[in-house]
Amino acid sequence: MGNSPSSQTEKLFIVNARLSEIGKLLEWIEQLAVAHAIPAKVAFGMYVCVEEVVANTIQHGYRGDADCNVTVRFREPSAGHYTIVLEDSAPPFNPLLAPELPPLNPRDEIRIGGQGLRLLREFTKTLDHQSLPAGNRFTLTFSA
Amino acid sequence: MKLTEEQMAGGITRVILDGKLDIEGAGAIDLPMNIIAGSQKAVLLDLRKLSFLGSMGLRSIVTPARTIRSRGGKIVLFGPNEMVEKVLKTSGIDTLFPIYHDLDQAIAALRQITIAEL
Repeated sequence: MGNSPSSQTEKLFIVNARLSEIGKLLEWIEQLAVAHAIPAKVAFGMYVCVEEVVANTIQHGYRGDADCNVTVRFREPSAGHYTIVLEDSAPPFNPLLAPELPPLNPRDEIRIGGQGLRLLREFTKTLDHQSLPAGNRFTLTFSA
Repeated sequence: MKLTEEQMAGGITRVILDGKLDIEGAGAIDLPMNIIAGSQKAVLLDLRKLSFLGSMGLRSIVTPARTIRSRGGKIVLFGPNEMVEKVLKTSGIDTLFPIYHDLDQAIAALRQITIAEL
């Protein structure tokens, strides 16, 4: 009803909680980018953000428990607007409430990590976390 | 992810990264990058063929780059595409290690260190 045909379907990918599995997830996003004619710059941002969220969930949420999964859903609710929802069953934790670390600077000789949240905010249009009864839901939106 | 190492005039090592520097890519280059970081002092990291850089891949650049600097050397980043550069700048890496899009300027920046050593 006024929406593009692509808006009618939700696409789903389930990734095992192993860092080595993330490559498959990125391949799935590449396929989505082709199927939905997602602009390359938007797809790049999706890669950055999905890798960041899933890697953090595997490393810090599941703490190496490879029997767990992360469910990733993709929708294009309207032309040029994309939503990715990631759900896990890790202990609820909202990284968006953590203070954002400043960018690296020449005086900062030690710190390397901590840039993930900054990248998420840079590459998404909106970024939301919801605690579930047993897990977390991240909703990322992107626009062409 | 492919890493190619070339020796240039003036003691400069050119390291070409080709592919996606995601988690898998990072795993592929960490060892050779660390070997280069432990043995070379003037490194031109050629990013023209790097199609993706995520936060996991950033470590594979920053850690060896800091090793090079701690040994009194220098590393410059050359030719990232617009989106890779956006990742570098969002994280502030460009304030630690300069980005060049002109090869002559990148080489000139590295020659400052190689000449100073003579």
